[in-house]
Amino acid sequence: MINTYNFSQSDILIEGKSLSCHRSARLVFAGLDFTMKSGMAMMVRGANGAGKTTLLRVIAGLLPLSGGSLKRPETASLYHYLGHQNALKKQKTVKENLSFWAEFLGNGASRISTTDILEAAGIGGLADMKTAALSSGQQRRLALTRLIVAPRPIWLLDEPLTGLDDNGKDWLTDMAQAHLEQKGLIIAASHEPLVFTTHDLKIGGSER
Amino acid sequence: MSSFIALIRQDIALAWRQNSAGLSISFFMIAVALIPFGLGPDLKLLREIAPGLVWVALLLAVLLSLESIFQADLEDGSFDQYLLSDTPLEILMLAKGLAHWFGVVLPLVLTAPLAGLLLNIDTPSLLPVCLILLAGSPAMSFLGMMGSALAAGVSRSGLLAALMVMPLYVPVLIFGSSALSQILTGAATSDWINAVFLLLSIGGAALFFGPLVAAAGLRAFLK
Repeated sequence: MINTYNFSQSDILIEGKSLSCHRSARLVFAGLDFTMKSGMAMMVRGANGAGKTTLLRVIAGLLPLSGGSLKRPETASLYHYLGHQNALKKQKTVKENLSFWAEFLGNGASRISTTDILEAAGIGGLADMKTAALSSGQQRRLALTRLIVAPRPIWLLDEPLTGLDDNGKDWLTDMAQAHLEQKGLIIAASHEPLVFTTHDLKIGGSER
Repeated sequence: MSSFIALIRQDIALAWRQNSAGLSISFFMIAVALIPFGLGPDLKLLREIAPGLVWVALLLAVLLSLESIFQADLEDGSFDQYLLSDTPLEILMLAKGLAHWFGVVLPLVLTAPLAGLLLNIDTPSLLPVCLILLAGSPAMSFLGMMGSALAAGVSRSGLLAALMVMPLYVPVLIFGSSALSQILTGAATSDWINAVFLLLSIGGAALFFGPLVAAAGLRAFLK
């Protein structure tokens, strides 16, 4: 299922030059260089604590940079950030969570109904269940539906596969590929291989 | 704008589901109901201390609910999403404050005069009492959210928030309870109506500064 939007505005460019970042006086990473354009997908790799999450949050504008220069679109609403936490309210139903984010993040811009989106995510039958009752994989799927319900060109995904079964991974891959075809841009941090990524960025250890 | 409305709707719904208002109301009622047992059946004394008592119990009941304003959003990652919205964080904080006022403080203030009956407040005074409490209620939410935001992220942030908010509530307590005692002693409306405007102007200032302080505090915490 593919959303019919296109990001026809000028091509997006995210460029980092010798980026470095400190978190509470500890140097997390230094000397990172990368260039990303519309239609590209980059996989950020590195050991635990290497700073993958920090890098994604810096690109999203959620954390300040300590050194280097980062060229990125400033408009916050161009970014999707999928963090470790799913940003779901446990007391609300699956459908209510999705409708809230559709309205909050996307101003109801998606032309696909929430029912169809949940169906595609494989949690269509759970629409009226309390989110607390979902398994962690199902909650992850629900969090990932945010990417569809609010069309935004830049996806920053932190360990998107956590908890997903093979079916879920295929669904995410299809979504990501459709997004790239529409000139979207993806930066994902993951320990597991992601089929849709075209570029690699290694943090820590042997620096490129 | 739709983010603003969506957030207000969500927070009111959540307050309703978690029964935040019910918890605060119960606390308030229990606190007020226990006092006569502690003081003995001295109706005159009860009447005299009722204004201060109602206000103190009310403010403590609101303090109970402060932790819930930001803690869940910070823990479940919703806050990151708020920062990736076109709507400025200050406006979103205004939404959260309004939702807290409507979802928790307003039901509390509207049921509070009932407790007055336990304190031997006569029925004709109930309406003015309600008016005074209502006038003080925006200040309770919006002063409260400042402390709640500044304490956010600390474990047991509710307690810390309470410590920070308590001094801010002092002016509300002073003006509120002095107006209340004037009402209960049968003073003319013109004697206490000024306190209504005073409380409302404290609330207005808090409505303006609360979201600014909360947004700044939460931004600083996330960095």
